[in-house]
Amino acid sequence: MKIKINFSSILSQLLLLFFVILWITPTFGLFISSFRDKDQLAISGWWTSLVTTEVNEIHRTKGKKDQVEDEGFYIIKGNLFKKDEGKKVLSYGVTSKNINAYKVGEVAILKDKSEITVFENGNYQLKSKSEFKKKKGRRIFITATSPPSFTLDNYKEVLFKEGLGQAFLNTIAVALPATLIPLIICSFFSYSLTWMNFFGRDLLLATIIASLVVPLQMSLIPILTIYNDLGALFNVEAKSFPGVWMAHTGFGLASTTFLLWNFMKSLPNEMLEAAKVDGASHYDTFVRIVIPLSIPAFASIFILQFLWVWNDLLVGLVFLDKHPSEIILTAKLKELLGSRGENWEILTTGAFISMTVPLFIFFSLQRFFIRGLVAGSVKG
Amino acid sequence: MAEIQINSLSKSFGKSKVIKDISLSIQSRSFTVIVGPSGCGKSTLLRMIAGLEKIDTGEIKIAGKSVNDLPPKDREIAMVFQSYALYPHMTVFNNMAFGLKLEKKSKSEIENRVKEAARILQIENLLDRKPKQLSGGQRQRVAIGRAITRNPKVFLFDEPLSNLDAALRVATRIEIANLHDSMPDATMVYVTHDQVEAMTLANQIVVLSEGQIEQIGSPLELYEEPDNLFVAKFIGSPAMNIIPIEILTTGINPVGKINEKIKITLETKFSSSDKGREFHLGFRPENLMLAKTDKNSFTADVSLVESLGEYALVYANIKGSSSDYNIIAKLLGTPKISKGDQVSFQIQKSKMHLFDEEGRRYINGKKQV
Ligand SMILES: Nc1ncnc2c1ncn2[C@@H]1O[C@H](COP(=O)(O)OP(=O)(O)OP(=O)(O)O)[C@@H](O)[C@H]1O
Ligand SMILES: [Mg+2]
Repeated sequence: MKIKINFSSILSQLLLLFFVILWITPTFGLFISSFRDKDQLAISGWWTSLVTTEVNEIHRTKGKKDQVEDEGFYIIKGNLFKKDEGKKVLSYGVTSKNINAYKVGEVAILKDKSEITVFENGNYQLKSKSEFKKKKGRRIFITATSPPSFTLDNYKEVLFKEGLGQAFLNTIAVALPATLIPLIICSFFSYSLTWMNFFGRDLLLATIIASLVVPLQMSLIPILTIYNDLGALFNVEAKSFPGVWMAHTGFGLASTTFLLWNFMKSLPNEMLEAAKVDGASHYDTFVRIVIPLSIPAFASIFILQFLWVWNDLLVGLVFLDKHPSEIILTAKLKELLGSRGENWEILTTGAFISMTVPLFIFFSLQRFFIRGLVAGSVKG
Repeated sequence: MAEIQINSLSKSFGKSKVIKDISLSIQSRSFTVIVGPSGCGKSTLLRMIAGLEKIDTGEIKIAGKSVNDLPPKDREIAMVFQSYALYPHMTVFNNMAFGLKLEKKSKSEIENRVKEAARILQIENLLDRKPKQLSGGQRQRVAIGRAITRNPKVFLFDEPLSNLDAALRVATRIEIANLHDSMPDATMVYVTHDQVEAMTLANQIVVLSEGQIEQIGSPLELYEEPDNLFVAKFIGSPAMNIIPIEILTTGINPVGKINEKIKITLETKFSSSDKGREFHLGFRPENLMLAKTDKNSFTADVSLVESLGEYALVYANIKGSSSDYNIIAKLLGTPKISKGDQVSFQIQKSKMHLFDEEGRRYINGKKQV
C-alpha cells in the first residue's frame, strides 16, 4: 500500500505554524520585555533574559569619605551591585583597556600601591597604607554572569506614575458601552429585519449593507461639528464619554446589524412559526427563543466590536479630550511614544497592558464560538 | 366542536396563484387528510388555516367564527411541523410547556398537562432532555406533545412523518390514529403526499392539484369512484392503468376499440352521439386477471415480472394503434408467467372506469361534475 501524502494539508499546517510563530514571537517578546529591568532592557534583547548570560559592567567604588582605618591600613569596603540580582562576578579589571585582567578573588595592585579585591558576590575591598584622597571612587570593570531576573517595577511605574492605569479604566468605560449599546440595538433591529414584515424593509436592509462601504473617516468631522453645535446649544462638553459611545455605536451599527441579520436569518423558520402558534408575541419570541439561540453570534460580534473599539485611536482622539480623566489607552500610548520614546520599559509594558484585555476577551469567549447550538431543532 | 368552513379561498405569491378559489368544509371531529403532489399548495392551505399565511380573498371559519383576522394563538389550533420545529435550547418539558407558560397557566396545571401529554405519547422519561439528545421519532413525538398540551380544538399536521424512516413511519402513523381515537373532540387536518397515510388515517380525503380541489371523499370513494383522471392516477399504488379507447358502438352492449385487434365491451351507458369519441379507460392493476375465456379479453406482451410471494406485479405492453401502452397487473399468488410471454388478460366486472377527453369521470352518458 502506498502512503498517500497530502501536500496541501501539510502545506496548510506549515502555513498555520508559520502564522502562529509570527504572532506569538513578538507577543511573547513584549510580554518578557515588560517584566525586565529597565537598564537591561536598554542594552540586550529579550531573549537573553531567559537564560544566564555574561554581562560587562562598569561600577564605581565608594569614595574617600567611606574609608575606615584599621591596623594601619585604610580600607574601603562595599558591594558593586546596587541590589541583589543574583549576579556573579567572573573577572574584573581596573582599566578600560583590560577589563578581564584579574580573576575574581585575585588581588589587583594598583599604581598607587593600593590593593583591590573583588569577590564573586560583588563585594570589594580597597586597601592602602596611605589615606584615600579622591572624592570619587575607582572605576571597576567587571564581567559577571547574570541569571534571569524579572520585576514588576515597570508595571508599577506605568500604571500609577505614567497614568496608564487611568487610561486603562477610561478605555473600559469607552469600550464596554460602545460594544453593548450597538449589540442591544442591533439585536432588536435584526430581529425585525428578519422576522417582521413592514413597509420598506428590504430598502432599509439594502441601505444598511450599502453603508458598510462608507469609510468612517468621512463622517468624523461632520459628526464632531454636530456635537460641537449641540454642546454649545445645551451648554455641555462636546467631547464626552456618551459622545464617543454614540459615535462608536453609529459606526458599528451597519456591520453589527448585518452580521446578526445574517445569523438570525439562518434560524429555522418553522421554529419561529411554532412559537407563533404557541401564542408567542414578537417580543416573547425575541426574548425567549431568538436571544438564547443567538448567543454564539452575540459572542463573536461582541469580540469583534470590542476589539475594534479597544484598539481604536482615531475615534477616541477626535471625540475625547486628552486630559487624564478621558484619554484612552491608545492615545496615551501614542503620547508616551512621543514623550518617553527612549524608555522602552514604559512602552513595552504599556503595550502589553493594552493587549491584556483583548487577549482575555478572546480566550474567555472562545467557547461560545462553538456551533451546534441549533442542532436538534430541525431534522437531521 | 370545531368544524372548519373554507369559502372560496385564494392565495398568490407574487404572480403565481397557489390556492385557486378553494371551498371546503371539514367536519368537527373528523380526520381530514389533504393529499397532492409536491408543490400543489397543501402546506399553504394548512398554513392559512393556522394563520401563518395571509388570506388574499375568501374566508376561513373555525367553529362558525371567521378567523381571517385572528392571529394563530386565538384560533384554538395547534400545528405539528414537518421539521419538528422544537426549541433547541429548551428541555422537552419546557418545549411542551412553552405555550402554557405564555398563557400564564399555573405551575401545577402546566405540570399536569405536560405529564398527561407525555404519558399519552410515552415520552415521560425524556422530559429532561434537550431535543438534540433525541432520535427523530422521539422528536416528532415531542412536537406532537407540544400540540396536545395546548388542548386545541383543531390539530394541523404538515407531513409529520416525512422525516422518519419507513418502520418508524408506520409505527407513528398508528400512534396518530390512536391519538385521534383518544381525543375524539379534536378535529384533525393532516397534510401528506403519502397516499398510504391518507388512505389509512382519513375519514375524508381532499385531493389537491395545482391549488385546486380535484375531489373530496372518503378513502374508498376516492379509490372506487375517482372523479377524474388525476385522482384516478394519484390514489392507489401501483397506479391505475389508463389507456385510450375509441367508442365503436353505443347501445346495450357498447364496444370500445383499443387497437384493430382488441375490442372491449364496456359497462357504461353511452348516448348515440358518443360514437367515435376517444375516452380513457382506467382499470386498477388488481382488477386485472388472467383471462379464462376469450370473451372481452386482450393480450399483452410481458416485459417484467416482480414476484413478491403474496402477489406478483406483471408489467406488460399492449400494442395500440399509434403507440404502445404499458399496463401493470397485480396477480395474487405466484402466477407462472415470465418475461416475453404473451398473456391474455380480462378486466374484472364493473371495475372499469371511464373518463372523457377532459379527464372527467363518465357515467351513463353524463359528465361528473
Ligand atoms: N413564501 C412563499 N413565497 C413564494 N412562493 C411560495 C411560498 N411558499 C410556497 N410557495 C410556492 O407555492 C407553491 C405551493 O407550495 P406549498 O409549500 O404549499 O406546496 P406543498 O403542496 O406543501 O408541497 P410539498 O409537498 O413539497 O410540501 C409552490 O410552488 C411554492 O414554490
Ligand atoms: Mg408542504
